[in-house]
Amino acid sequence: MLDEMSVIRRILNGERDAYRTLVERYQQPIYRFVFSLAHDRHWAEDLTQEIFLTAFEKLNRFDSTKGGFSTWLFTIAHHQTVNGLKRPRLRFEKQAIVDRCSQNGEPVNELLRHEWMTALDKALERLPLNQRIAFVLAEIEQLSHQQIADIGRTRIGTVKSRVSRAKAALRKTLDKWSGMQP
Amino acid sequence: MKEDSLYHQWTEDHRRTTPPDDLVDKVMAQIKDSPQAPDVRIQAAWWRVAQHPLTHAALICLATLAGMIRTATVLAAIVDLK
Repeated sequence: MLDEMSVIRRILNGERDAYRTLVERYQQPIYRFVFSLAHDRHWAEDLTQEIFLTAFEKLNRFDSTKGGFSTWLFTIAHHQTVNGLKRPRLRFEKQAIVDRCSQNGEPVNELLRHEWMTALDKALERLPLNQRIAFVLAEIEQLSHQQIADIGRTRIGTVKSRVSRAKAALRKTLDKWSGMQP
Repeated sequence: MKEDSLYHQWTEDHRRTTPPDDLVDKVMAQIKDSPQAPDVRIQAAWWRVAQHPLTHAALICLATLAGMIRTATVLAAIVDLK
């Protein structure tokens, strides 16, 4: 297993190339998090780069006694994404949240499945930002409620409530789907 | 239940979102080429100095001295008023 602290010490001692190890490890969750909130690949890519650059520049402020590196990195990602979403964007291409893989099922069922997956994406998109963030971190990234509270600098009870409200909203979408099943 | 299975598939689809292949190289190029990027070694050295017990002791001494000067000033003002 990668010893992140020893990598961080190497970077702080001037071995900049060692940072690649951390970028390789966290590029997917950070990109996924940003993209889930913005639905714009170019923007998500640019912002992910900015997040890693900021983390590099602030690496000496990382305090392992206060939490893990991933929590610290997600805190930066959370902050920059929320700020980024407030800024007007010159280029905004709204895209499907995920590229759906084709499944080997009945074409009619497959079409219905795809339709409802898209409906779930839209339901996620309609959630208030704080609920969406809590939901993505809890259900997609599978972080603990405590980690999410640390990332958002809020209380664990608030996180639980946000995740629960987000799930209830998505459940409504699923219930409609269930009612339309053949 | 069908809904649970659909929900599971949906979250799995989200987890399959992947960044562009060259993302790591782009980040590393920015880190290497950026002339504005602060030298983390200097920052780390400052951080170590700030956390050193002697620095804390020196700050406490300065604060005490400042407190003493302030007290002396106030006392002088009181004496002067009398």
